[in-house]
Amino acid sequence: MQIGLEEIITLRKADRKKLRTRTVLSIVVLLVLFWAFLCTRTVEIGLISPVQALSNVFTYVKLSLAQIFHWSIFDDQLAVIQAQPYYYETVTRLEGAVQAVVLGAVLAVSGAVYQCVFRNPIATPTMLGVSSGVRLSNFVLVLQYSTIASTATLVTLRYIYGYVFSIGILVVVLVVAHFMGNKKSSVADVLLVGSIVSRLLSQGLRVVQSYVMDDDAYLVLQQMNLYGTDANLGNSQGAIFRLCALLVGMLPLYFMRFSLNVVSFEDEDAKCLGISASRIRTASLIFSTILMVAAQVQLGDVALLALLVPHICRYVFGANFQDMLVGCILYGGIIMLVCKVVVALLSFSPYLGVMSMNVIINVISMPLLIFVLLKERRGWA
Amino acid sequence: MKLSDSKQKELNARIRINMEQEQNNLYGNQEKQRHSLGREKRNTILLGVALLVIFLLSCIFLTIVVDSNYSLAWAARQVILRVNDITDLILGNHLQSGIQYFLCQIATAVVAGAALAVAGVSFQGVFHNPMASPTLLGVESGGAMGTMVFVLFFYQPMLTPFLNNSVSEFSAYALEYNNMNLIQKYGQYLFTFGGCVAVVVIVMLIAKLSGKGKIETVPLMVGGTIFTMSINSILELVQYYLSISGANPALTEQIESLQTGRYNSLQEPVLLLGFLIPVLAAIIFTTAMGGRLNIIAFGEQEAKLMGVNVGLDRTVLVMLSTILTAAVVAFCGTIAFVGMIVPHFARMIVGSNFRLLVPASAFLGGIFMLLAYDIYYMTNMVVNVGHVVNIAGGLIFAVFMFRYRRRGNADWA
Repeated sequence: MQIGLEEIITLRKADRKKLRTRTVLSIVVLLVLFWAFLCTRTVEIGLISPVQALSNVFTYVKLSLAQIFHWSIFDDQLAVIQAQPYYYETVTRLEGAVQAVVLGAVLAVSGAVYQCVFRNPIATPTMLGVSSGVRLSNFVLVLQYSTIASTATLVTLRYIYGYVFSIGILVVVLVVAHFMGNKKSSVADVLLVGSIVSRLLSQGLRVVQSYVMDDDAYLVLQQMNLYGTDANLGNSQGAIFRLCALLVGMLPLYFMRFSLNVVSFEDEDAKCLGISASRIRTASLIFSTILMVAAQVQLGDVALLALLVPHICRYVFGANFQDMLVGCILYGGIIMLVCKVVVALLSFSPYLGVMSMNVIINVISMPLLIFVLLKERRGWA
Repeated sequence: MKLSDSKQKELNARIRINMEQEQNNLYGNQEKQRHSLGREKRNTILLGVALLVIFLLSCIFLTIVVDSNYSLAWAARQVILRVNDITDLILGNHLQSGIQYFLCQIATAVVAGAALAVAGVSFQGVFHNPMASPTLLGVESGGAMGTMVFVLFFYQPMLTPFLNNSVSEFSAYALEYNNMNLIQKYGQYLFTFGGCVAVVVIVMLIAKLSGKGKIETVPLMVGGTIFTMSINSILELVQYYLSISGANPALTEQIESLQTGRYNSLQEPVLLLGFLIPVLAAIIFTTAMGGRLNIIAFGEQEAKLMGVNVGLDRTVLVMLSTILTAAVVAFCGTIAFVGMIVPHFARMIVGSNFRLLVPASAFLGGIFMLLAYDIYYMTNMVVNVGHVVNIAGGLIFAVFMFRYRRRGNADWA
């Protein structure tokens, strides 16, 4: 049976329309979740009215603009703020929600890129030594500064050390894999070398760290590894680093979105088509590692979200990377907002102290991933 | 219902494409019907479960109604006493010979290495992936979870702390140890073993459900990764809370020793036999399935064309590897590199024929662990043995891969 050109055009139009409706639906869900998150309260159990939350946000925007442009309304800002109940709470939650959405998008996009590059449904962004690099940077910092390493004064150093060590490890892995495979860079070599290096590092750290430092510093190190700089996404201390990471990492990936479909080809097939798949692969790996390092330093060891969201996006939007990119950003934000709601609810329990976000992310992602696995009709690609 | 022109055209196109795909899928549908659970299989499973329930009920009946001196625990204790007598006859009383401690350590390490290597080989054959290790399906995290449950809820520390080496305190220790019930003595091993097997069973069930009756490799791997990550994060949190709240440090020590590896826990002959017998049986079974592994490594369609029941063989191989890995995790803790590296070395020596590869990797795994033990004793036992194994394994692997892969890309399968 032959399928004609007209039928293909009709089908493609219908598919794009379906995709558009799904994207719009996802954006609506994200905005509604965002709004609902703004309406809940952290200090006590209760809800703010949605109109009130929205007016608080507008006031915040107006006051920041007034601060920048020197409007007259900035002079009596105190009266304006006191006219709005629950103002500071809403502003704090707004910042936290924006950070959560951004973090979710970052994790999801880097996970999608790694899964495309390695052509493997269980590829996580921590495979090339990112998490061991961040642990190494925490270790070095605690060795240098002892117990004050986890305080707010050293947040910038944590980011800098994390970037230096992780990108150094990534470069080492890529170079060794390049020279190992007879000057041909293949994906399997990179994977093997990356797994060796990260395993060696984590084992070595585990041996050394309890002997080298005293108990207080070791406890601080454990806390840093578990919680990161900002476990509840409330502070904006490392925000400038995260913004830089977002720009440097996400923008090139966005511009490369048409050619990232090509990285799943074999090197020889791509060469027959005249495309240098290995270059695209290396570049996309570096950019997504930059994204992932920022997320790891902020939150500790979290990779299950990066594994989960590309599966969902592939199920909803199809395996085309241009559509998947938008979908990953949206769904990453949605799932991070859900996790943040759960953490906020759990903080009212008298038994648990400050709950770490990464544990909740892992615990929530598990049933979601099982659900997506059960629902996947076609193969993962 | 009257559809618009464009929608009608779209519907026609989709119907034609679906018809084409159905014609291609007829063979697949026939296969599905043939391998689905038939009535005979269901009846057999029900009969087995009923027999097990009747056996347990009869044991309870015997204990409560007839005579409370005869129970399952009493029968187990009688078996243990006989086994202890036999091994004391063969090896000499372990209170008198100090060499038995050394021999047990070495035997544990060698057999653990062999077990992990064989498990790694069969996983690499089943999953058709050179990066497959025995921990792919989340076995280690299951063991950690079992240990955690035991340590948090069932742990009863001994009342007599073993302070000095004086004779009187040693006899008090031995008396209390002999009077412990089964859960106190062997509970940790049982829980760890059960946790490993439970996680693998859950992952296989998920894969079976998502493949609609067939087990495919991709959902298995994804499920294993999910469980590993989630349970590891929960475990880290629990350890941190334990260390903050200042609980009994023996609790965290147990979980940490699981992560580094310990080789001196099999001093009792019962435990040693309980470790050796399942492991050796599983290794022998996997060697016997070497031919099947050869065919499965060709690919699923080719294996089915040659008449091999791929689903059943895959399940059997995964369960054998799980028994091997679970035994090692329960008695020795997690050992990192052996399952992934030793098959590659064995492949360099023996080739890719699984009939030779499985026993070769068993021997090579034992040799690898012996080497690690030699390094440990030569460096005068500075750090834990498990650390030596992990770091030495990583370095050896790195060096070999760097040197030997340069001379042409050896096809791994």
